[in-house]
Amino acid sequence: MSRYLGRRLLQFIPTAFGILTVLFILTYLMPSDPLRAVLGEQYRRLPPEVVEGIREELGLNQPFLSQYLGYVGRLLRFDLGRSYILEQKVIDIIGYRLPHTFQLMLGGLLVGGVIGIGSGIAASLRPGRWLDHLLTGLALVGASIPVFWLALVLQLVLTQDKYGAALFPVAGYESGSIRHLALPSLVLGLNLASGLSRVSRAAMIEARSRDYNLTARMKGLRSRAIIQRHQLRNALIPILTVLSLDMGYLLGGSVVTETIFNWPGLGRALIPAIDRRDTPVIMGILIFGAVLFMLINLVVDVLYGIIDPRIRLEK
Amino acid sequence: MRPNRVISVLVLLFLVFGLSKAHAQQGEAVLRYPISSDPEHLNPFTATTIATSTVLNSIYEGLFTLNRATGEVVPHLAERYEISEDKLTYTFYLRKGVLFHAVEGVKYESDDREFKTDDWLWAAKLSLSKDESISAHPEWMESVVGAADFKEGKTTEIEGVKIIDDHTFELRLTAPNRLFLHTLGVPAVSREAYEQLGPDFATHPVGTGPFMFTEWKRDNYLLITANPDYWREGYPKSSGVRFINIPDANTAALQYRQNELDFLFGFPTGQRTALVGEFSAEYREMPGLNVRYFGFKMDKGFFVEHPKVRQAFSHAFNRSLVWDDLMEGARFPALKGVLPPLMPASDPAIKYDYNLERAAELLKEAGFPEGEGMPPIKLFVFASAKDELSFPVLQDDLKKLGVELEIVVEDNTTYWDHVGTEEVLFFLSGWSAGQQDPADVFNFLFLDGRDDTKYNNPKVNDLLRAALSEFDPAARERIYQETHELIMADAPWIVSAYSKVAWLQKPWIGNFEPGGGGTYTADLAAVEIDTSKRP
Repeated sequence: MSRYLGRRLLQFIPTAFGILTVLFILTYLMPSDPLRAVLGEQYRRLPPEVVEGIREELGLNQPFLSQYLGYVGRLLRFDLGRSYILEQKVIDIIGYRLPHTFQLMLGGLLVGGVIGIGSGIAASLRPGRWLDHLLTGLALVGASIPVFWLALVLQLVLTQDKYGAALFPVAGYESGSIRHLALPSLVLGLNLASGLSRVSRAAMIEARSRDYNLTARMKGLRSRAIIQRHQLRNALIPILTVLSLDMGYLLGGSVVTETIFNWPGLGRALIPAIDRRDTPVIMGILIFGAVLFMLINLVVDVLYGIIDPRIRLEK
Repeated sequence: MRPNRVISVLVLLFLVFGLSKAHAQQGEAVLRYPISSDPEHLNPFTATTIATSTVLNSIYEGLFTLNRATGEVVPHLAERYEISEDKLTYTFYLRKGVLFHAVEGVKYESDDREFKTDDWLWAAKLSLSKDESISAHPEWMESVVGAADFKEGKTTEIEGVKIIDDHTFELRLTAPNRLFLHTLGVPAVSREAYEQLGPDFATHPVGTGPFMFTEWKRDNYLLITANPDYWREGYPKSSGVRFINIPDANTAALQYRQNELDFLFGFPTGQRTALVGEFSAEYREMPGLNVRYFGFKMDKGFFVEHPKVRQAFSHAFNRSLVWDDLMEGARFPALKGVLPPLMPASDPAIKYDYNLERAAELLKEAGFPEGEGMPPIKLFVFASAKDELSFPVLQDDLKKLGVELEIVVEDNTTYWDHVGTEEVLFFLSGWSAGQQDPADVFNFLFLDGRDDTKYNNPKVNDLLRAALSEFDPAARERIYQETHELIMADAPWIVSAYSKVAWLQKPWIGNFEPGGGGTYTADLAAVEIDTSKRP
């Protein structure tokens, strides 16, 4: 196990380096002058020589290769650089936002997991019956609803006295407040639930068709025990795969939810950085996200082996 | 864990965290002020955006402020000032007893926190730093004798500054400049804080203003609280301001309706009429200082050769339809000239009303009857204006003249980079004046071809230079009127709209009085909250 982990962690290095190189080339190739974005309207008020001075200050007048090597050199010393715009270190930007993003991710996964896996299993118990049709139909509707629309409807119904009952705050983040976390988690979770529900249903139906069910029944096990101990455990592998992909999505893809609910996560730092060509922030968040995603994948691979010992990690 | 146990744990968590945190701020006289984006940082020397000014206006003060109604300068930290006969020497008398904020971690020699002339001089010198990451405001001092040499490092003192005592100093100018007091933006900044806080100073501002910086959670909220030592008796009227970051206009509207906010500054697209109707007693509006226009490239390309085509396009644009009807009154249709209507000389004799017949005649005179022989025209637009319905209307109006208009939408940064190139001959743009002075539009957009249209008319340049040293307001207005007529005749723009400063405020809020520059210019120290009426 430890040899496997060591080998996998070593593989991180070339992968991360490849991602870094591709990202750097992409951000370098982004059209337009970052200074115009950095300075905003001030660009039109400043004399040209001042603008050139700032360009030199930020190292933007250097050739590609020296910019690239400089960045890699700093990265090896764990220095992600400073934002052009925010007068803040990139590592501080990530450090401040990551816990918020994790909270939202966990909230979304909890809601999505409970509803998605639960409804998937329920639908799989009697395939083709009314409950199955109802739940698969709902999953289809869930997959088709855009996040922003769902958020708006939930906000209208659950936060406005005028249109429903104000059970939750409209938006905002407060440390440790479940009330603030509830609605964004619900929006993200419902969005994930439809995919999870369909995968769980299919995996459960597949698991039910296997011969070990017959053995279990012959041993005299109750249906509930068969579902919990045999079918569900076997169905967990594809569910886990989808869950890990969802985590990657939640890491960077929940920008819309973060924006609508004023949630100070990573996505809300990334998008303005892209708009304003704040390269150190773009690079920092994306590289950090990529490494985190690789870690999640590693954890999932290890979990495969624990859930199903037939999957041997060593080979 | 069984499902019912999971549910009971969740319910328990909900009760522990959820209810205890509810409505923590009730009863406090803290303003709840929405902002659509965070300040980039809080360093006054490098601050260049409205987002930073929104907060810093309440923390830092300068020698002067602007009268929000007239745009005139009013002495503030300078108690009074004198100008010499030759208009070259200014003597300033600082107000006594103005104290810097008492902040943990910042120590003053013999606990003396008073703002004095050497504090001012230190900030003035710092603003002239050659290192642009230290100061982005060389313009504050650029009219003073010796400022350029100091900036270049040739001298260690600014020649034109003379310190007389702790509360009096003199500045000598290179040439008479009637806008000098407007541009003299050097704020009262605590030197001790700047030096002792190091890089943290950019996020922990320390000034003399009515509010002190308290706490900042990025993309969440920024809290400032009343300065107990403030020099203006009885101010600030509230105990603090909580700037709440709400990027989505729709969310802000929902929060306003639930009384989670005291103001609403942005209206979600398509909901303006509905919201104004719902909260008609809470709605306020006033003309603003921003002007929106379509610019023609005036140094190269098709439009240089064809002034009549430019004039024809100006006649062929139904501004009232766009701004009064389709955009629900978000701005005022530009029925006058290039200056926002609050400014002097803003009503030129030459105007371009919506007149398709006249436009067709002009096109014919230009040699393009019914648009025949016109090259394809591209209009470049920035993405953040993509919901604006002005360009489809222009496209439709031009089509009636036989002219095909292609609209190219680019993301903001790409657009701003692109607009200076030869490829772009026709583009959407805008300008926000900082004060009610024609110079703040003319000198940046029509002087020496420095703006993206590259408009460069020697006669206009001469007039604008003359106006800068004209101290008599009536004579100056005549110069600007003449300039305005020349520009209108040249038609380098299709003027589209003038901004409208519009907002909602709750009935328990009083004395919120912004200027034409935007809601961020309001003096928040004067704003009153009747907490007994706030639910």
